[in-house]
Amino acid sequence: MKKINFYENARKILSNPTVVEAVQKATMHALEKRRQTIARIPDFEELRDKARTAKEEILRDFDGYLEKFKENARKNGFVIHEAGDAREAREIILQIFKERNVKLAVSSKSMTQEEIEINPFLEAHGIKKYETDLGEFIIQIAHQKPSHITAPAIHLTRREIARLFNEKLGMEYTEEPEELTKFARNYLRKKYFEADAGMSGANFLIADTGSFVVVENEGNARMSTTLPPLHVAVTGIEKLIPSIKDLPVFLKILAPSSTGQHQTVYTNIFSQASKDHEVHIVLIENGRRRMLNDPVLREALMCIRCGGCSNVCPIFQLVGGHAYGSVYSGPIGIIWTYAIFGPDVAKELPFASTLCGACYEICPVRINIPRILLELRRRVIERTGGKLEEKALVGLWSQLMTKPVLNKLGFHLASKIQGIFKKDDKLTHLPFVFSNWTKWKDIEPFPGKSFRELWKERKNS
Amino acid sequence: MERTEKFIEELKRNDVEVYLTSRSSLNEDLNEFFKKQGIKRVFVRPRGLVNQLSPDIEFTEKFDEDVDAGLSEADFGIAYSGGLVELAESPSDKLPSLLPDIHIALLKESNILDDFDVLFENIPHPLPDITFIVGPSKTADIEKILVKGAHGPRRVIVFIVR
Repeated sequence: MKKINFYENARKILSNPTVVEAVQKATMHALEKRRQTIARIPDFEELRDKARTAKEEILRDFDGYLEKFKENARKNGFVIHEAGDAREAREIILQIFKERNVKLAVSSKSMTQEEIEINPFLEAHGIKKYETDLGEFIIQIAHQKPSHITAPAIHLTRREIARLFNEKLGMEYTEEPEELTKFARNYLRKKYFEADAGMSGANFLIADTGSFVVVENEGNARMSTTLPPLHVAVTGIEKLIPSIKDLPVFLKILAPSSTGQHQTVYTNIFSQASKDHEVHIVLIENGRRRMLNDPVLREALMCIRCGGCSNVCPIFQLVGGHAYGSVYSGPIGIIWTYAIFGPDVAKELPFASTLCGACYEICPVRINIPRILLELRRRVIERTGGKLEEKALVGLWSQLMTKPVLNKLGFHLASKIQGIFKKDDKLTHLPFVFSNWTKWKDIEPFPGKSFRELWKERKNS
Repeated sequence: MERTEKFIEELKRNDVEVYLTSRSSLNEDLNEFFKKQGIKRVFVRPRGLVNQLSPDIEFTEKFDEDVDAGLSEADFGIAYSGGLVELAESPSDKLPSLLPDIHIALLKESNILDDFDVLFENIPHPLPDITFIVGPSKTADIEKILVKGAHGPRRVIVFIVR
């Protein structure tokens, strides 16, 4: 993957007021619904703690739980595949499909499938795969990428969707969401019955029963996993939870944190396979083990992909998911993109945050996202050497602060010569490497007397 | 019963239509419902209470274009979420609550549980497939505008049998 140009992407998006407005509307809507829903769940904070504890338990003995899951899943009749990276995952899925002569597949929403870019790969091998979640379906026919973890098409207006359905699918032009939904329903209904395989992701892998869970609202995951004779679930290994007895806790925090619903319409818990209905699970590592072995990044493996941190992030609210240039967007998406695609691809992303902490506050499993972002900044700067003006200022600062004589001299010098950089009593045009600061903001001027002088005066009086 | 009341309250919040009935009047109530709604052909999961009915209309175990509604007995109800729980031994067991535009679920009042925890503590192993159903299928993928009836049923109706 090429380096992601966050700032360039953001600038482009900000010049398009419809996208900015749509993203703002969608994120605010989800936050308001979340607020109302949580008011009905008195023990919500306790549930968050319990979920966190369960995920900590997984990290404590990751390999043990993974082995336990695989063993129990096999007992259920599931076929387990393991992929080290995206390429391996694609080959495994292709192999499963080839052996069963699959020509047409239907799939419910899965970010992990997006992560391994399975669609163009299957297409190149003559296998057509339809996305059946309405948002994903829209994105697929628009040849775009999801702009939000749980609401992939929030950046598109109904007018754009109407035009898309009219031009690409021959639907009579209408902007009515109800009609557009009905059209997609009828269009995809046929595909479910014709499909040779159904695909899904997984929200949770349950170690003690070998089951996996898919939550959804539309019924498209139920269709995709029930009607075709083959079900292939693609999932990251981090979705583990210890026991089915932990599932209630996660079900109670996921939907409120995500769309703001109390529960999703459907929760599908799969524990069975048969000769007539094969179930394969493709477990994907793709950078996750690197995260596990990294003392700072490993906490991000607890993420349950609710998208809450995106909704609440002041940067995301403004630019939406596409600015992040990756399948994983928003605050936690920065960390995942860095971990999966590497620091060279993601080096701009850790700076796409105000570090305000709203993501930490909303995260249902209390991942300290700002702390991780700060650490990623440090790593990026260590690799790239950092910006010249930052190094100059920090260097100057440390000299001035550790040497009293220089401190005194520097202050007097600065307060004397600052006049030529002042306008309306603000420093507006600093010279040399410092000009990058004053390009965007004005800085308060140096006061007449230094703190040291004021302190001395106070002591003497 | 307090639990039943909470369950009904949550069902209604989830846009589920609720009828209270008893063993003795279930058959009559259902037939009347079919008549009033113009339901002539029903795709059923022939199990439990469904097998004890004597309908005035046609019950079928095969789904086709002419099916007006799906009928199944839910194994449990969850008062916490107003959810119906369906246990499936095979994928085809899941279809009556999924394919038709209208899904009618029968539920014995004694099978209403307080919360998920109770369910997972009492469920037999090896586990069947489990589906929680919380109201009609829906989507808000276009400008966050709620549309009922995405890929699954547009209406969900529950007959609670006392």
